[in-house]
This record gives sequence, C-alpha cells and structure tokens, in this order.
Amino acid sequence: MGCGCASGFVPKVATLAALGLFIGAGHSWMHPIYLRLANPKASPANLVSDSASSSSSSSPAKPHGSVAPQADAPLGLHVSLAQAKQLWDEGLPFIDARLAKDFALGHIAGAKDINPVNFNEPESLDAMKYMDLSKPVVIYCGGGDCHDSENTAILLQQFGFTSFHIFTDGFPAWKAAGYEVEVSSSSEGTR
Amino acid sequence: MTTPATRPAHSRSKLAFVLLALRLLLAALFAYAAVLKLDNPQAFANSVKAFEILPDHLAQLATFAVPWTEIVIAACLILGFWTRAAATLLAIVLAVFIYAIVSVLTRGLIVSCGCFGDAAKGICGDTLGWCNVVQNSVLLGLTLVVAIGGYGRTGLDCMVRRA
Repeated sequence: MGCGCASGFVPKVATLAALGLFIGAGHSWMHPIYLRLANPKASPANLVSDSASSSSSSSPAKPHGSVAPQADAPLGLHVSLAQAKQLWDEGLPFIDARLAKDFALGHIAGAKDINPVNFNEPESLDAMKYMDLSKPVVIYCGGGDCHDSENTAILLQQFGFTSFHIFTDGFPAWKAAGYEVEVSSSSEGTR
Repeated sequence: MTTPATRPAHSRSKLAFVLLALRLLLAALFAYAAVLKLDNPQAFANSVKAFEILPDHLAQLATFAVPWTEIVIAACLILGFWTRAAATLLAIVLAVFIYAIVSVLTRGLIVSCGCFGDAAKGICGDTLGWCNVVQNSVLLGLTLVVAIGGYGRTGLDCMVRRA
C-alpha cells in the first residue's frame, strides 16, 4: 500500500507540527485579549493561604453573624450567613457552584449557575463576560464539606476574577433562614 | 509472507477503501474539533488551564496551536498529502491527550474535556473520565492504522508517486 518510502519522514512530521505551531502562534499573537490566563497562583492551597493571610492582616476574626465586611476590603474567603445576606443586600453577584439540576430546584435569588462542570459552556462564559472582574463575587454550594465553591473560585481566578467570598454554609442555610430563593426550570438551570 | 504486490486485487482494493474511509473519518473528526476550539478559544483555554500541566504562556499558545495543528493534519488526511506523516503527528497528539487526561484523573481534578463539544458529551459525559481515555485510545488505534497503511490508492501522495 502506497510507496512505502520513508525518506524524509521525520522532517515531514516536524514540518507539519511546525506549521500548526506557527499558525497557532500567529493566531495567539493576534488575539491575546481573548484569554485571561495570567494567574499562576491559582490552586486550592493558595486560595486558603490567601484567605488566612488577608483575614489576619485586615482585622481580627469576627464571630459568625457579626457585621458584614466591606465589599471592597481585602477580605478572607469565607463568610457567614449574616455576612452573605448583607453582601446580597449590597448587590454583589452570587454564583451557585452546585450542579445545574440542584440549581434548577432552587437557588439564591439572582445567583448565576456557574460550576466546575459547566464552566466552559457558552452560557457561563456569557454570564461572566458581563461581570466586573475587579469586584468581589460570592460563591456558594451545598454547605457542609462541599468543595465546589473553592473549585469554582479557582476557575474564576483563571478567568480573571480577583476577589471572592465563599459562603460556607451555602444554600441549605440560606433557605433555612427564609431568605429569598428562586426556582427555575431545567432549561434555565443550565443557562 | 504476503506483500502488497502479491495480495489479491480485491483484498488490496478493500484495504484501500478502509484507509480512505479512516482518513476521511479522522479528518472530519479533528477538523470539527478544531473549529469548535477556535470558535470559542476562551472555553478551550479554560480547559487547557484546568489541566494544570502547562504554564500560562504555553497554555495560551496551546489554545491556538492545538486546533491549528489539527486543521493541518485534517487537510493532509483529506488530500492524501504526506498522509503517513500527518497520521503519525496525529498519533503523537493523541498520545499527548491521553497522557494529559490520565494525569488529570490521577490528580483527582474536575475538568471538562473541551475536545469535541456536545458530541463527546453524549458519549463520555460532561467531565473527563476514563471513558475519554478509551475514546482517545480507539482514535489512536485508528490513526496508527493510517500511519502504517499509508494513503491507499487516492490522494496527492499517490499521484506524486505515479507521476
């Protein structure tokens, strides 16, 4: 089958690879603004240490239910129910990091459905496009030991967001407190 | 041992047909994947970054270099130009994909594939799993058939050979 000649085989492979690389590099050079990747520190460990350091440097730890932090302050990651409520009252964007099906069953009013699974979906990217990257966002999941908020925060960092609050107790606590929730259809839930 | 010259004619034409079909199938698959990536580079960049393998500047380069390499390979496979070289490069690319996916799985990361869009989700779900390793391994196997078998009876390679 075919000529079977192996002359110049490796150079041919290298040439094709170089061609793809060259065109890709050119395309990358022409459209660098599409990518918001410049956050090499994004990792769960760094998120926790950033949180700890900023908390200790800004003010002593406050008990749950204390006065909410200022939205623009260099705040630690985790906020209580009362703090989350105040941030919600102030109009900060909320991100629901649970799965879309849980979001559809009920979520904090106005929250956006962005989680590690659907993060790359056009709907999620569109939602993030209209958010101010320099302003804090509040992320929550199902409370308890769920890590979806932290994982989503890492992805948001990679996207270019710089400030987060993680509402640790999450949606169950919000709902139990009787604060405003929304229920959406499944199609809205996957937006 | 049966050589191409001594194979029966019907066997050779069957093999040529299989090679052509594989070339077109692989070309269509990877051209489609490339178009999806270039259509939404931010989404693919997020996927590349989430793998936590490449530093930022290389992740940005890979965001565009990977789909363009796929397009170059697809064009070569469709035209039958440098067929074996293109298939070999595709095999290398797939091997790198498999390595990256296994790396992600062993580190317990939750990453969406960013490879074939919704088409792949129907087969392997939203997030990367061992299904994707199997999927890429099957594609690697098909690619190796082309890399070893060559261009068959159609394509520029064949025309150049006959000229």
